[in-house]
Amino acid sequence: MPATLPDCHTADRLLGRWYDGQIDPEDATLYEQHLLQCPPCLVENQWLRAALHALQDAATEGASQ
Amino acid sequence: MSAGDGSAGVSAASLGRLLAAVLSRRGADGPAVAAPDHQSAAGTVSERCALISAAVAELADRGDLDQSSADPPAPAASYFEPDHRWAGWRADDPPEVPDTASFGRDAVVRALRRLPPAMRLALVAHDAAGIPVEDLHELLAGTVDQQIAFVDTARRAYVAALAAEAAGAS
Repeated sequence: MPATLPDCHTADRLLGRWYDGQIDPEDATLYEQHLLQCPPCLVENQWLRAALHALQDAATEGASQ
Repeated sequence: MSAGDGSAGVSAASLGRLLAAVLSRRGADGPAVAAPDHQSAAGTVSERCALISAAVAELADRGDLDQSSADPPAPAASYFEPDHRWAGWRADDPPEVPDTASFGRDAVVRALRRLPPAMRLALVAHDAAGIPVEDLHELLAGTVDQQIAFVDTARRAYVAALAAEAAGAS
């Protein structure tokens, strides 16, 4: 029987661990399938990735000056 | 708000000079620690934690450590009620897709300065310096689970602050 997609509450809790790669592959797949069904969570995911990439870029630029 | 308005603060452009000052101070009056060479610039987790702690001390000495915490954390999302067929799923409209062109380093620094100091420290240590959550006990109190939750909260607050900065810049 296929696993049930996580709801948004659960997906929200998985976001940070998914970003850090600290998530079971099966949970990662379910989380990503949730994103394909849920525009609000997909955009939240985009926000987190973009914001943390900007932080890393800023830290790299600051340290190199 | 703002934590950043009118206070001295540290610009993104001065971070490199700050780290250089910390390194020279560690060499002058701290334990004899050589400046990291190119190959080992990241150092061990303990060295990086010590470096961040020294940077915080340097900022405090200069009067540049912004202790204010201005904006509240990100607003909570709304979900369908338990008796709804979509219970637990988001009931609100999707937020706007981020415009990453407005995420310059100045916006990032201003967003960081909106956060409470402990959140700022957790975020910089984990997401900028690359210190694993499991090693944050060198900087923050609490269990690993508490630190994971705290980093998560700090990230959400930072995203909300960066969104506010980006909206203000547009």
